[in-house]
Amino acid sequence: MLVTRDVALKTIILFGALVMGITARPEVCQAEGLYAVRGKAMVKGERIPLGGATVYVMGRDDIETTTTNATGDFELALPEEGEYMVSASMVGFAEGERLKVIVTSEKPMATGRLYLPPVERFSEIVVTAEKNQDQVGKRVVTGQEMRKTPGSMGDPLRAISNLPGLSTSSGFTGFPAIRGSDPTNNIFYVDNMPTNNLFHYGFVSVFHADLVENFNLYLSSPGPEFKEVLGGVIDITLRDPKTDRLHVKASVSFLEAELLVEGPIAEGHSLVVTGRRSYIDLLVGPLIEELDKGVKVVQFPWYYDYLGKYVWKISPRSKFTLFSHGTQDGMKMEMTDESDVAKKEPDLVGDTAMDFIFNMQGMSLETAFSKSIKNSFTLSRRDFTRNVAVAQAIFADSKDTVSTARELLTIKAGASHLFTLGGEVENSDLNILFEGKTWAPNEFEPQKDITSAEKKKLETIFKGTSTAAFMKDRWKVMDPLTLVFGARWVAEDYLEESYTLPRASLEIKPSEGLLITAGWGKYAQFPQVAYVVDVFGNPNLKFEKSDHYTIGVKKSLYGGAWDAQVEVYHKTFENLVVPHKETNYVNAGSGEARGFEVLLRKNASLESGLFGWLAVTYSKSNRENELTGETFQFSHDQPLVINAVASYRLTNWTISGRWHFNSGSPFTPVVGAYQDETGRHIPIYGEIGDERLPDSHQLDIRADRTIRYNNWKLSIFFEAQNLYARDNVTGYTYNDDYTEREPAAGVPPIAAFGVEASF
Amino acid sequence: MTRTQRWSAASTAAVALNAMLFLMVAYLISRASVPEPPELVSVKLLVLEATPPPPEPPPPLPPKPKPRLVKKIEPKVLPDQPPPPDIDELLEPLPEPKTIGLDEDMEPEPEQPPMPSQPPEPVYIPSHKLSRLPAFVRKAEPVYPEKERFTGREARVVVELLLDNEGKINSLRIVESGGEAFDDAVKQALEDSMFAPGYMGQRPVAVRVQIPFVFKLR
Repeated sequence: MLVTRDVALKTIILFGALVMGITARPEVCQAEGLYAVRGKAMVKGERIPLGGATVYVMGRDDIETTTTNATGDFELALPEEGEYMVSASMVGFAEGERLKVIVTSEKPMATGRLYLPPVERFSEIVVTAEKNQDQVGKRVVTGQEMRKTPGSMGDPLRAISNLPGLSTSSGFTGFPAIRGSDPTNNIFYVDNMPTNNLFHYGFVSVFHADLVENFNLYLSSPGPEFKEVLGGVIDITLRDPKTDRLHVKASVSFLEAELLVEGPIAEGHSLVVTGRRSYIDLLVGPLIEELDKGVKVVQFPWYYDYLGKYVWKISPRSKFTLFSHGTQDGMKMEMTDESDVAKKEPDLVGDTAMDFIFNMQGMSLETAFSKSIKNSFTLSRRDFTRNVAVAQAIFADSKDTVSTARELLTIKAGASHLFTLGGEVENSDLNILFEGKTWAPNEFEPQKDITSAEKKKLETIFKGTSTAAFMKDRWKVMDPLTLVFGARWVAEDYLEESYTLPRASLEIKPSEGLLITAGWGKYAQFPQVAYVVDVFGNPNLKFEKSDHYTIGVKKSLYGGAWDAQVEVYHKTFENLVVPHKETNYVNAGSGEARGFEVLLRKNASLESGLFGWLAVTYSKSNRENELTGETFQFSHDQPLVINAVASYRLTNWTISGRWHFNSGSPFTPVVGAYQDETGRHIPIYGEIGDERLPDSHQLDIRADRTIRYNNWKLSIFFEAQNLYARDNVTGYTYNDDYTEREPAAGVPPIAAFGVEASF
Repeated sequence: MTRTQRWSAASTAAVALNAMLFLMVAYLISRASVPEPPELVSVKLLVLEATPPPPEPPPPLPPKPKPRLVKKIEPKVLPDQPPPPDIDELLEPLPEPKTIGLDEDMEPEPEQPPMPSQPPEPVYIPSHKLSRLPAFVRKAEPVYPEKERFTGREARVVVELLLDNEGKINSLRIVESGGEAFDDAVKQALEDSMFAPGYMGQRPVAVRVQIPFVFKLR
C-alpha cells in the first residue's frame, strides 16, 4: 500500500514538474583552502552525467588532469590564483564549450559544468543479439534505422515496406502485402500482444516513433509461437520508459503535434505516456471546402492517439508491464448530385462519414526463473468500434471485443536444446449492425457497380473462441548445424475446426559470417469474420491454408560492415474463400506465390557515416477460382520491387535519399457499358486483374539535424517526396459512359518539415 | 466550453504553436553558434583493411623540464574515483607492461631496479592531447553472453585501455562494469583486436583511451 502511495505521489510530482517546468539543480559544495575547480561533466543536450571524461586546463601541461567519476563529478586542483580555461575530453565526444574559471585567495574554489556533445556514430560500440534466434525468413530492424528513411515522414512503421518482401499497393497505405499474401493475412504484435490497429487511415502509424525500438519481421515460415496466419508476422517491440530522470519530447510536423513524457516514478517503477492529435484538419480543413465538383468536406480527416506504458522491474530477472493504448479517426464529407461520381453511382449522393474508435489494454509478466528457464505471460483486450455511413449505400455499426491470453515458457536443456512451449486463448465478441449494398470485398469477386446491387440488412452477434498450444525445439545438432522443429495445434469453436500445423527449419553456419537457412511449415487462418457470419456469410467454412518453403543465404562482409542476403520462397494456398451464389462463400480458391529477394545492406558503423541498403524483390503470385476455373494475378502482385536507401552523416546534417520502383499492380478494367431503364450507364468489368497499372517510381530525400543546447536538444527534419514529380498511376477514373478513362495520380511532390524538442 | 469553442481554441493553439516553432527553429539554428567540432579530426577509430606500415621510431624526446609547481596540492579524491596517477610517476621509468586482459586496477606496482636493456614505460597521453586517436586494425566484435541473452539482460561496459606507441594493449581496466559476463565479453574482444597507435603530430605515442560498449537485445 505504501509502495502504491509512493508511486502515485511520484507520478503526480512527475507530471507536476512537467507542467511547472521545475528542474532540480543540485547544490555544489565548496571546499576551502585549495585552489581548485569543482563541477560536473554532462552529455550535451541530454542531461546525462558523463563518467570517465578527462578534465584538464587548456594550455597548461604542468597541471594534472583528472577524471570524472560515474556521476560525472570532478575536482581539479589548480596551482595558484588566476584565470584558467577548463575543458574535458572523452572518446566518442567532441570538445564542448570551455569553462572559464577564476580563483583567488578570497574565492579559491570555482564551480561549473562542462557539456560535451556526443559524436553520434562513435559515442559507443553497440553489441546486439536477437531475442528470438530463429533465422528463416526473418529480418530485424530498429526503429531508429527506419524512422529516418526518406518518404516515411519520421514514421518507422511506414518505412518497413522499403524492405524486401513487403509491398504496398500505393504510397497511401502502410499495410504491406508480404510475399504474395494478402495484407489481411498478416498478424501484428506489439510487446507480445496481438493487435490489428497499426495505422490511422492505413498510413500514419499509431505509435510514437521514438517508442518503436525494433521490428522482428517474419516474412515466411514463422515459428509455431505465432498466431495462425497465411502471411507474415510483424512483431513490434516498444522500448521501456527511461529510468534516469524526467524526459519530455514535444514534436510538431505538418500533420500532427505530439507529446511524450517519461521517467522514473519510484525505485524500479517507470512510466511513459504519449499523446498525439492531428491538426491538419484545423489548418487545411477550412481552406478545402470542396474537394471536387459536388464533393464537400464537412469534417477534414483527423485523428488522435494515446499510449501509456508502465514498467515495474520487480527484480533483475522479473518485469511487470501495464499497457494502455487508444486511437480515434474521423471524417465526414457530403456528395451532391452535381458530382461526376454521383452521376455514375446515384446511391453515393448524401453524407459519407466514418468514425473509428480503438482501445487496448494489456499486461505482461516476464520472469527468468533461472539461467535456463524463463516465462512470459500476457493478457490483453482490445475494443474496436467502427461507424461507417456511405450515403444511401452503406450503414455499418460494429463493435469488436477481443481478449487474448498468451503464455510462453522457454527452457534450455543442456547446451543443445532450447524448448519453447506455450499456449494462447483468444475470445472474440463482435456486434454487427449492417444495412447496405456491398459487403466484404473478396479478391475472387468481380467488381460491380454499387447502385444496381440489392440492399441487404444484417444484425448479428459473432462469438468465437480459439485455443492454441505450441511446442518448438531449437536443437543444436552439431557445431555448424541447428534444427528447429515444432508444431502449433489450434481448435476453434465457431467453425468447430481444429488443426495441427507442423514446422521445421535448419540453419547451417559453415564458416564465420556465413549462414544458410531452409524452412518449411504448414499454416492456416480463420477466414475473415464477414465470410462466416449468419445471413451474409457461411458458418460452415473451413480455415484457409498455406504451405511455406524458404531457402536463404546470408553473408557478412568486410568484418560486418556489409551484409548480403538472398532468399528464395515458394508458398501454396488452398481453401481460400471465394463467393458462391447459394452459400455466399465456399473454400474453393487456391494459389501460389514464389520469388526471390536480394538485400545488400551497409550497416551503420563507427567508422563510416554511410548507412543504407539495396533491396530487390522479384516475385509472381496468382490465384485460381476452382469453381469457375478462372486464374488471375493476385491483386498485390508487383513482380519487380526495388528500394535503394542511402543515408550519409555530414558534420551537422544527415542527408538521406530513397529511390523506389515497383511494377504496376494488376487491376480489373472496365471493358464496356450499357444503359439501364433510367438512362444510367452501367459498367461491364473485364476479367479479374486483366490489366496492370504502369510501373511506378519516385525519389524522396530527407535532411535531419540535431542541435544540442546544454540541457535540451532540438531535432529537425526536412523531407521532399516524389522529387522529380513522377505521375505514378494508382488507378483510373472513367467518364459518364465509360468510353474514356483518365489516370488517377499517386503521391504528388510533397515537402514536409518536422521539429522535435527533447528535454 | 462548447465543441465549437474547443475546436477554435485547439485550432488557434496549433496555428500559434506552428508559427512559433517555425520562427524558433530559424532563430535557434542561428543561435547555435557553438560549432559542433569536426567529428573525426580528433575522435576517430578506423577499421583499416591492412596493418599500416610500422610507424617510424619516435625521435628522441627532449629532456622534459620538471614541472614547476608553485604550490604542491594534493587533489581531493571523489568517492568512487581512483586516485589519479602522479605525473612524476608517469615520467619515471616503470616496471614491465601488464598482461593484457587482466582486470587489474591501475595501481603502480612496486618499484624494481631498472634493467639496462628494458625499454622505459611509456607516458600514456590522454586522448585530448592527440592529433589522431588510435584506430582498430582488427576489430573483434564482443559476443553477447548467451545466458544474459536468454534471460533478457542488457548492459553497458566502459573499458579503459593503455596502448603503447605501437598500439599494443599494455593494460585494460573495466571502468564501468555491466556484470561479469559482459565484462568478460568485452575483454575477450579487445584481446582479439589490434590497434594502430595514437599520434601527437607525426609521432606515435602511448595513449590512454576509454571505449564504451552497449549490449542490446533486438
